[in-house]
This record gives sequence, structure tokens and C-alpha cells, in this order.
Amino acid sequence: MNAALYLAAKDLKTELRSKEMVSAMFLFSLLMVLAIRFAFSESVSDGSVAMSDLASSSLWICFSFAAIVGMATTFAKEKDRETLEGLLLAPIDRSTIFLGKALSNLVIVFAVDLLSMVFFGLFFSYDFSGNALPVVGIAFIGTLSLVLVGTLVAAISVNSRAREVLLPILLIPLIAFTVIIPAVAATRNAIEGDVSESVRGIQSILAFAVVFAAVGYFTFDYVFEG
Amino acid sequence: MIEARGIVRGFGRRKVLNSLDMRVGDGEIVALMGPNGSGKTTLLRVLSTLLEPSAGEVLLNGSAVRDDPAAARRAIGMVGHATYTYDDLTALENLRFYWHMHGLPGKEFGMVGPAILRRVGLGHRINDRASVFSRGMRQRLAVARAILHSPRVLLLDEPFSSLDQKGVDILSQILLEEKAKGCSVLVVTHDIQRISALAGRADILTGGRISQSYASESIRKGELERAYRASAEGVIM
Repeated sequence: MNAALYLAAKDLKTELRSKEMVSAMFLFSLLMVLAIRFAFSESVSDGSVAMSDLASSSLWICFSFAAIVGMATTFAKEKDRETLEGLLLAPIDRSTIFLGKALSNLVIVFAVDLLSMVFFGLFFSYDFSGNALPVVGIAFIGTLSLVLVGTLVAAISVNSRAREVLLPILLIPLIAFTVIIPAVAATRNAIEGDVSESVRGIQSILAFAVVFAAVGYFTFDYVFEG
Repeated sequence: MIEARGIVRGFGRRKVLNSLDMRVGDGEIVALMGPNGSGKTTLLRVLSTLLEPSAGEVLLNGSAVRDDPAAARRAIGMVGHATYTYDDLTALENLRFYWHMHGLPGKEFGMVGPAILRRVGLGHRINDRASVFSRGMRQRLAVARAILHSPRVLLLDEPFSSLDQKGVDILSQILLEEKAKGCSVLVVTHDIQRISALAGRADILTGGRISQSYASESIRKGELERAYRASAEGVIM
């Protein structure tokens, strides 16, 4: 477990210094919110689109695509800079590498999620303060689920020549019904103040997070089998 | 001691290693030579657990590496073609990261880390990021990373490449010191002059197995050089 924490700390430190992944995710998220703002400017002002529908769908489009952009580099960077073999030579279980990478992805992707919420609040003059806690909580649990399955898929696709294409092709069908749709519904319910419905959505996402964590942890040994 | 028994490994239909047997004893430096594409790097990758053999087994001090690969990795230090170092970390941070990956006690690193960097001649650059290092300096850092955890087996793939004369001397000294401590050292190299001063034995790899083996006396007499040149031209003496 300690090795996973040190691996995550190394990833966060190198990311903080290079800002390669974060800057791409940040700009991607900013662009998405900006585009949605201009697309729905009339609908928002005349009230023909409910803010809860718009916020929940827009935020999860930003969260999921920013996560895919970010997670694509998780193992690709290690592979391209020839440090992946250094990790594989360390006397740790491969599952420790999975945990460490998932943890660093979670921190980075969740930080971008929070930024996306700030952008949304600014561009739509929307105040999340009344329901910020449940919305942030759903974002965290949904992101946890996303990064658990995303880290596994990123590792599977890293040795492929078309890894940039392979990652979304494998990942999107896996997360569409297990994370994104329940998370959009739970976020909408949280914004509308329907806590019980929101909790039901969170439970479903959490169940998938547990499944993804178990699958990742127990199968990761085979992903880098020589 | 590290031993390969009947190792078979191929890529697609092509067998690179074909029932290969070899052994590097404790306190022994063995040079592994052979023409390009003969499988030297593949053998090192199999010995280091990076590649699984299709058949045969690797033994470390008599125990099969397959049974406990993590324990084997704890005992092996490797310098590969790549340096396995992170550009965005300083020399000391790189070593600290691998120190923790080996599960070594954090408190001891404060003494050991800088000392190892001084040993490879990077004592004055410990807080510089690896991104500003020349290829030779990165190679020195790779050597420091490989010996950091006091391995019982050292596997080195053309370690003298990109080192300047001082770097070559430092690495030669390190290999002799590790040998004196009982470490088994296997060096893939094409540098016959350099290795003749270090190795107790030189093995030539051709046709997927060790075709010839030369003791230090034969190396000095020039027999190895003649055999090596012949192997590169496809002639087995």
C-alpha cells in the first residue's frame, strides 16, 4: 500500500512540474463549458431548458471527456519515456501499480471536475452553494468509478499502436450505462433537491466502483505479463 | 547466483533463445557477447523477469524465479537500454522513488542516496532534474538506480555506451566492488578490451544458445576476440 502512495505522489509531483495532463484537461473542460454556454444562451434566458438538466448533463460531459483525455497519458507517458520497465522491475505486485495510478488519476481528474463546476457556475451565473455538497459527492464517486475502470483500460491499451483510439473505444461502452447515465440522473436529482433518488443513483455508481476496483486489482498482474 | 536452464523464448514464429543454459556464480563477472539480434537483450529481459520464457526456468540462488518474481526483483539490479529515470524529478528524487518502490526504510535514504550519487560521480548534481542531464550523466544515474538496493545480481545491457572515460572507470570500479561483495554480474557488451580487464568469463551467444565460453586466460590471449569476430560473420569456431 505504501508503494502505491509513493507511486501516486511521484505522479502528482511530476504532473505538478510538467502540467502536461492538467493543462490539456483544463482547456478541454473550459472549451466545453464555453461551447455549451453559447449553444444554450437563449434557452437558459427564456427558461425553456431546466438548469438542473443542463448542469447535470454539461458537467458529466466535461468530467468524462476530461478524464478520458487525462487517463490516456497515464501509462503512455511511462511507456514513451521508457520508465514503465523501471516500474515493472520494482519488487511490488502489479496491483500496487494499478492502485497508485488510479489514486493519482483520481486526484487530478477530481481537481479538474471541481474547476469545471467553477467554470459552469461563472458562465451560467449559477450558484451551486445550496446543493454543492451532494453534487461534489456525486462527482467524486462517479470520478472514482471512472478512474478505476479507466486506469485498467489505459494499461490494456498502452501497448497498442492505436492506443489513443483504443482507450475511448473500450472505455466509453463500459462507463456509459454504469457511471455516466446514473451520475447524470443523480446530479440532476441532487440539484432539484430530491435526496432519496440521488442516493439510489450514488449506490449504483458505488457498486460499479467496487466491481471495477476488484476487477482492476485482481487482473492487473496479467495486463503486463511479459 | 543466477542460472538459466533450457530457456526458450521467441517472438512470433522466430525462436530467439533456444534451450539456452547459462550460469553466473556469486562474485563472478561474466561478459555476454554476440552479433546484433542474437538475443542478448532478450536473455537479460528473461533473467530480470521482464519477459516470461516460453519454456525452461530461471533460478536465483537455487529457487525458481517464477515462484516468487517479486523476491527475485528485490535481488536484481538492472541497467537496460533505457535509464528508467524521470526527467521531471531530480537525481536524488529519482533514487528516493525507487528506494520506496523497493520497500526500503525511508530514514536510511538520507545517508544512502547522496552517497550512491557521489559514487557514480553525480554528487555535485543531486538536486538537478534529470531533464538537464547529458546522456552519459543519465547513464550514471541509471547505474546508481541499479545498485541502490544492494542487489545480489546485476544485469547490465551495454552499460559503457555513452559514458565518458571517467564514467567508464567509475563503472568498472563499481563492478569490481560489487563482485568483491559476492554479487553475480552479467554484462552485455561489444567492448572486448574493456571487459577483458573485468570479466572472469565471456560467453558468446549465437543460434539462441551459448555457443562458446572463454575463461579469463583465453580472453587475454585474444581467443575471444577472434571467436567474437567470427560469430559476427556467422562462423562458429
